[in-house]
Amino acid sequence: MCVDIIRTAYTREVSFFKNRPDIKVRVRWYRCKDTAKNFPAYTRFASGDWAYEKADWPGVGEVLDSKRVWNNGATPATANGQNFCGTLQEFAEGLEYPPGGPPVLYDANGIPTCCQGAGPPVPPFPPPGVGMDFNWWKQVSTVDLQCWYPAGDSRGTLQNNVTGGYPGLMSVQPYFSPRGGTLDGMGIWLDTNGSPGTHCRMAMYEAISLTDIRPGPLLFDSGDVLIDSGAPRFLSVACNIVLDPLKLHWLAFQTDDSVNVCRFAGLDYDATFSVFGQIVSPIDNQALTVGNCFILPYGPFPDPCPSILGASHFQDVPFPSVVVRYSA
Amino acid sequence: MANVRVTIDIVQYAQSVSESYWLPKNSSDLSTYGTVADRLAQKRIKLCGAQGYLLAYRVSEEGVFRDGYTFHYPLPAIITGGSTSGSTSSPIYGTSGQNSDAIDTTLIIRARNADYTRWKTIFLRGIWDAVVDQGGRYLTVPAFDSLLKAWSRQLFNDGWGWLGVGTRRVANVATVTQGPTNRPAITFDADIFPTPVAPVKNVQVRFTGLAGATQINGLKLVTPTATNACTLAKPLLFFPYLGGGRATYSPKDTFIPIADATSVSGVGERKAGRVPFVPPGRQKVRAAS
Repeated sequence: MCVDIIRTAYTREVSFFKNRPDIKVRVRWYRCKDTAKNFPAYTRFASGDWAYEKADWPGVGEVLDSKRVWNNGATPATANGQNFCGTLQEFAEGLEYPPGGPPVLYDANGIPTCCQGAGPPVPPFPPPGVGMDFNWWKQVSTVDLQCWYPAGDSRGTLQNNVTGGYPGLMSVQPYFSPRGGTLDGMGIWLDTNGSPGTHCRMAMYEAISLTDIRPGPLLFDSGDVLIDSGAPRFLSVACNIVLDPLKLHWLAFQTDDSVNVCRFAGLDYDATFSVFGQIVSPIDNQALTVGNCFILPYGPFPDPCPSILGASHFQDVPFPSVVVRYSA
Repeated sequence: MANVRVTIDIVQYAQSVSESYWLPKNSSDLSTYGTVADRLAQKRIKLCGAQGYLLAYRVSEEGVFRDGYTFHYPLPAIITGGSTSGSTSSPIYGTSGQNSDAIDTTLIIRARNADYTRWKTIFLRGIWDAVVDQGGRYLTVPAFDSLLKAWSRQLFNDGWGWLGVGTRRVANVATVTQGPTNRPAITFDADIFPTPVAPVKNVQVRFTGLAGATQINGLKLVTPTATNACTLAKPLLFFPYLGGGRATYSPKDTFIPIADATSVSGVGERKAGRVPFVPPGRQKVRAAS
């Protein structure tokens, strides 16, 4: 895992045991792989390169008197950086000697197997928050990011109901991701098969600007997805959408059939997204109505999105909710 | 009271700079400072142009020396070849639509405390190209100015500060003799070092006005041996001490909160470092640039 940032690699002795400072182990710093995760907590075993004093380093950690030897920082092939061995407390305070627990197993590269994903998982709720991606916190009671998220819901009614698609209407729902993220999937639940040869489309829009949060530029259009077979099932398409953390995004859906699809925990049809404090009434021209439907012939999503301020484009119908997935 | 140092690392044009800020320590779990560190980093990176991005921040406790909580931001796809690192978020760039100036170009900020009694120079590297003219002078750009104010406000709102001199201790030099291994041993007529003296750490003391042994005058690194005595950290041959002289010990151990950091006093140049390595892909980019 990414433990620290340093400008050049080296080896140096480290004292790991609180009660045995005489036991020192030479440790080599090397580069993380691109996909390595951040070490999720405070550690006493960070680099001494950042120390502003080189006079006395008490306690566990790098040993000041130990010779610091340059190293090329080459990453061992099996150092995937997905996990760590031991406990967060041991990282924060040092270890007791003799160490408890089962013996640590090493692979041919000298990397502990528990560091490679087979060992103790990164705690689902590490010390927090802190520095953790906001999206990470949305995974309530789940273990990784790769679960599906719907748009926000300000009303809390009619959740998870199955509702019909409305041919000739396009719905858009706000999706709020204040720390950004990369989406790798978009999907919807198909409850009932549509008529032969019928389709749906899913899309994502970005807000017009930081301050004008209405849907603007089209970021992704799934294209035609057949909905005429296999129900009930989950329909998903791959995408690669990098969310701007400063902007609101919008999930859009349309179909050319009145097939039944699940709305998950999406918006009620006449709701506003209260995070932004808009007036609830969907027909108030002063308010930005979210959870919008447009009268629009089925086909490619328009780019940019048509204007949705006020009641002119609003249709008072419930609509299905598209869900998205973050890449891990 | 212990203090916490937060270091923000910014990369721009394949070079990197680190900036440190301090907070009083009020939690034993340093990872809890990540939220405020991230808040400040997000404001700070906006002072960079589009070519700048956040690499990481690290939180450490003053006096522990090789500890830390490090959060490594996702890297741009150009670095990683498309993958993200350390997080699922997007990289955090500087202000889009603005070019970055050279990473060595430094905006010199005069930060101050609330009652205007303490000042600190902050060297901001990683700034917009538009705020420095061809002659190296600072240009007021309203958009940049508002971002600078936002950064300054964040410093104030979250209670950031710097470590400055709290109590300046002064004593007269009493004796100067040749100590072990040719290190001059100096005693004072009053206590100058805090107790306990051990564990022994070298500190800087400024000597002035010594007659005879004038080689000792100036800022010197010393090893305290008692509250009123020390030896120079390095051997030094000196003429016989004739008398006089004063020693001033000014440890930077006091936290001083920043009230404002919007006063730009000029533009300078300070050398940036190589990028702290994380991914091997970065080397390819550097080689190509």
